[in-house]
Amino acid sequence: MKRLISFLVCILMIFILPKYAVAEEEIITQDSTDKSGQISIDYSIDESYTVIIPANVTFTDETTTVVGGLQVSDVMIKEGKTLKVNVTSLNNFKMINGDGYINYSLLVNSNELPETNSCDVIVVHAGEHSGWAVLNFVTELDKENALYAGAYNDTLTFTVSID
Amino acid sequence: MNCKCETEREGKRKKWFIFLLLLFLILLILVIIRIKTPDNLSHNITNGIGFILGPNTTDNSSSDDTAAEQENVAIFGHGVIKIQADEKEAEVDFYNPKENKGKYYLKFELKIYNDSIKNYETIYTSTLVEPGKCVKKVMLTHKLKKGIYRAVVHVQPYKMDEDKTLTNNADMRVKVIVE
Repeated sequence: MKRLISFLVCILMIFILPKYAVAEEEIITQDSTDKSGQISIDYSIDESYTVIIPANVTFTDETTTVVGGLQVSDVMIKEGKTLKVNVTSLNNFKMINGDGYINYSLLVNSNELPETNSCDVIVVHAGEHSGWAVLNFVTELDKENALYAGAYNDTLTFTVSID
Repeated sequence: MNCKCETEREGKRKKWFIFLLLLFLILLILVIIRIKTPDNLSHNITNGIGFILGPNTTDNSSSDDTAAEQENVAIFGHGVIKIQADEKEAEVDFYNPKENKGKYYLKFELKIYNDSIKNYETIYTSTLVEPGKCVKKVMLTHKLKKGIYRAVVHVQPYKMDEDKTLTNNADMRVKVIVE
């Protein structure tokens, strides 16, 4: 009976052992010249982050300015690296319907974008864990080039890079 | 005298038996705890949910889900993705945060920069992933050789409404390490 239980205990210990890390041994005896010992403790954190982007912006005849937010949080990047969030417009900041369009503009923290359809909106350096920007979407609803009735759309792509 | 010795030996045997039995029970409990504890507690695992955006797709979500007024969508990103060389099956972590609950599905595309065509080629496309779920194991369109690749995870949110309306989206630049 005792043998059977011992056998079962051994089997169970085999199942349990892989769950726990085993430290590497360094044996120091009275005869050792160097009586100090060292252990190394290692832990690795993967680079990761969460970005929160404005999903939709809807203008109406009454609402020609829409305030949105862009945020990155829980940023963990390697020392010396920078996380950037860039915004790009599919139609160069025009809401289009066929070949008709309505212009709009995007202000980042109240600043106008450079004369491109792309711009860095948030820059987070290593050691910082979050960043944000206020986005103002503004249109004068100039319908001169709006040729058709119907919905006019644009799509923004927010590109996150770690360099 | 002999009888007393016999009784003592019997007593010792009983103590040993009880000790081993207790040890066995403790170890058994530890084994049960180990089996019941999942290795990754952070998110639920799925290979996507049971429908793909298309003309025949039906939406069984309640009207409460479509009435949400949330205008922001949360997207989780990584700096590095590690993939096994010469294997089509790969482990990833494409997660739709719980913050999007009742508001947005996410669809993930993994695009690798291909030097020969000087452009990105899509090697994996997910179905729509529900909030709080993640895609862990994926089947790539082809095997990759050892090396470090420039890549993009394109994340397209879809509103949880009847039309599954597309919203603004995100490109997460990542380094794919194939080893």
